[in-house]
Amino acid sequence: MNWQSLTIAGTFAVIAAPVVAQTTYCGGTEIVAPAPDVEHWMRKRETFIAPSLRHDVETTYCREALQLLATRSAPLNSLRRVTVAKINDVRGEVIAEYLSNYADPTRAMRTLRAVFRSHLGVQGFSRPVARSFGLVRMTYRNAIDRLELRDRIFEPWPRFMLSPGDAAFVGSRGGRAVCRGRFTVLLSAPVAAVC
Amino acid sequence: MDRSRFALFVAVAAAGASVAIAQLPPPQGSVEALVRASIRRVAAQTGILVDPLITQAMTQNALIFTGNFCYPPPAGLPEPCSATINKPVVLDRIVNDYLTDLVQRRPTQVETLAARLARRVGDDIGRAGWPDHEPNEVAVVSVPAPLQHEPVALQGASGPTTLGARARFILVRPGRHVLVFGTGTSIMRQVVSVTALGRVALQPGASGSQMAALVGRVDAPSLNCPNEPTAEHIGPLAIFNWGRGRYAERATLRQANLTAFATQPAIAIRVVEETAGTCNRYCLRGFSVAFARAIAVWRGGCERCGGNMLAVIKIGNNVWLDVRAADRLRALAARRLTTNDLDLTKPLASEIQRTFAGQQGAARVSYDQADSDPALSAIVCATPSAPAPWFGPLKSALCSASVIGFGPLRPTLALRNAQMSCGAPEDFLACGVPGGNVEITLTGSRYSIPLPDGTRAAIGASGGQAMNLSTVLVHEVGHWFGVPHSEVAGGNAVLDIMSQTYDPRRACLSSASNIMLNNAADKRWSYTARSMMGLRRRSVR
Repeated sequence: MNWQSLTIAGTFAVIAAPVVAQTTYCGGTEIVAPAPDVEHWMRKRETFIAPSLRHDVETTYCREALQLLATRSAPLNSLRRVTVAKINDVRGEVIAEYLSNYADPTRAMRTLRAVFRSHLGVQGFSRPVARSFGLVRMTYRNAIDRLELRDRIFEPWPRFMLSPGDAAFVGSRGGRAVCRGRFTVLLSAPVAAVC
Repeated sequence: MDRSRFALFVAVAAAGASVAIAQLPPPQGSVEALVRASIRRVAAQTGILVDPLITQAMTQNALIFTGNFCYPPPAGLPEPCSATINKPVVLDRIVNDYLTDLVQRRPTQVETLAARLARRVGDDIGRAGWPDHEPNEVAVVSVPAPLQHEPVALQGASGPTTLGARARFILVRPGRHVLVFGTGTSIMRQVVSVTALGRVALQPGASGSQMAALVGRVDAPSLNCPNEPTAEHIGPLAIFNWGRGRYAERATLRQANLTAFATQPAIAIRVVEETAGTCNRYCLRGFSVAFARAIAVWRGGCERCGGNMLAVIKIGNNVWLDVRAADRLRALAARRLTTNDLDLTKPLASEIQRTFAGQQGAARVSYDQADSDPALSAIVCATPSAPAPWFGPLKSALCSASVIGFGPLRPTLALRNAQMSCGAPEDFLACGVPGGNVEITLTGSRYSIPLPDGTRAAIGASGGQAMNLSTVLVHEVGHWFGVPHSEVAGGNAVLDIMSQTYDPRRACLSSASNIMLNNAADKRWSYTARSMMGLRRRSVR
C-alpha cells in the first residue's frame, strides 16, 4: 500500500468513524453484545423490531451467554467446553435464527437459549414456545417519508414486528398526511396493511 | 416421496436415466387408499373384516401390479390401472374374490391380488418375475349372530384398531388376538388363539379377562409427508453408495460397513425412571409401546439395513418381537418351517409379496409383545437353539429373564424431571445421542398415552404443554440411527419430524430423513452425526 492509498483509507476512516457501532460487551466480560447483529438482521430483512422485543432479545442473549459460562461445570451439562470465543463465533447465527423464526409464523418458535445451545452443538428436541409479537407487512402505494404508528414515528419499513392488538397508522410526506388506516396485529399469522 | 418411490428414485438415479412423470405408476399412497377403500366396501357387503396387517399385505401386493404394469399401453389397449385399480367395480370384484377364497376355500396356496389384477387385463404377473400364488397364512374367526351387529376392533398395544361393523368373519394373522365388540362401557372382549389356515368360532357369552388387555402388537404408522416438495439431493442428501453397495459389493463387505444399529439383531434398552414416581406402571408401559413403535418406523425405512436388525427389542420388562419372526416361530411349532428358516435375511415366499420391490428392510414393520403371549414363549423355550441371530437373545429374555447376546449397543431411556444433558426442560423436550441414550423430561409437558383397552393415561405436568409422545420418540430414535436435524441436512430438506423444534404440523417423515437414515447406516458415509458436533463431513485423507 502506498502513501496515497493510506491517505484515502485514513480519510474514509474519519468519515466512517461516526457510523461504526462501537463494540459493546455483556456484563464486563469479553462476550460481545448482539446489538449490531440485531441491527444487521433488521436491515437485511427490512423488518423493524419493536423496541421492547429488541431489548428483550439483547438482554436475554447476554444473560444466557453469561449463564452458559457460569454453569459449565454443572452436572449433566453437555456444554462443558464452551468458551467465550465459541460464544462470540455463533452470535450472528443465533440472532439471525431466532429473529427469522420469530418473523415466520409457519415455523415453530423456540427459546433463545435453545437456539444458543443448538448452535453450540447440543442435539436436543426444542420445546415450542409462543410468540409475543406479530408481523405486519406494509405496502406503500404512496411515497412517504415517515410512518406514525401507535403514536410513534418510524421510517417506512416494509415489515414491522409489533405486539399484538389494534394499531392505527398515518403515513406522511413533507409533514402532510397521505394515507391512514388501522390493522390488528396477530400472533398466528402476518397482517398486511396498505398505505 | 414415499418409501417405494424412494427405491424407484434411487434406481433411476443410479442408472442415470430420466423418466417422464406421466409414465410413472400411481403413487403408493393412492394405491393404498384405493385398495383400503375397496376392502371397506367389500366388508360392508360380505361381512368379512380384515386385520390391518392383512390389509397392508394386500396393498403392498397390489403395488407389485401397479409398479410393473401401470404404464401407457400399446395403442388400442386400455391402460392397466384405469381398467383395474382405478375402477371401483372391478377392484371390488377382485378383492371380494380374494377375501372369499380366504374365508371359504382356504387353500394352502392362494392366488395373489397382483396376479388377479394382472389376469384381469389379460396379462401374467409372472411376466414381471413375481409368483402368482402365495402361502395362505390367514386364520378365520367366525362371529356368532348376537355379536354381528356390534362394531368390532382389534386390540393393539397402543389401543384398539377399528375393523368395522356387521362382522360375519374376521381375517387375522396367526397368533393371539383380543377382539373388542361394542363401544363405550358396553364392550365385550374375546381372546382368540389361531393358527395359519385355522378357523375359530367365537362363543357369544365368553369375555376375556383384564389381563388379556396386555396382549398387543405395535404397527409402524405411515408417516410419509404429504405433498412433499422435492429436495435437492446434494451434500448429506446425496444418496450414498447405493448402486455399488447394492449391486457390486460383496455381501460380507457391505455387512462389515453397516453401523452397529443396522446389524444388531436384538437390543436391550434400560429404562431409568428419575421422576420420583410420576411415571407409574402404565406410564412405563406407554413408553415401552411408543418406543417400540418409533423403532418400527425407522427400521421399516432402512432398506440397506440387515434383515435381522433389531428383530428383538427389550424395553424394561417388555419384550417385542418382529411379527415376521413371531410368525415363523408359530410356523415352526406347526412344523411348517424348521429352525433354519428363522433367519430373517432369507425372506419367505409370503414375505416377498409384502415388501416393496423385494427389499428386506423397506417395509412397514410390526412388533408382537412376546412376553405377553404364553404360547409364543412356550415355543421359544422349547426350541433348544436356532441359527437366527435374534433367537438367542429372545430366548434369554423370555425363558431366563436375563439379557444375553443383546449386542454391544445397550442404550438407556432416561425419564427425568429436571435438567437433561442438552438443557433445561423449559427449552428442550428430549435429548438424543447418535448410537446412545435418550432423555425425556416430564416437566412442563403433558403426554397422553394410549392404553391397550382404548383408554388413555395422562402423564407429566397436569398444566404442561400437550405433546405427542410418539412424535418425540420417533424424533429421538431417529437420532439414535444417526439421522440429524432436518435443518442441517441442507439441499432444501423438508422440515419434518426431525426438525429442531417440536411442531405437530410437521410430524411426518420426509424422503430426506429417509435418505439420511440409509446414508447413516453405512459407516463410510462422508458425513457423521455426532453428539455435540451436529452433522460433520469427515476429513478427506
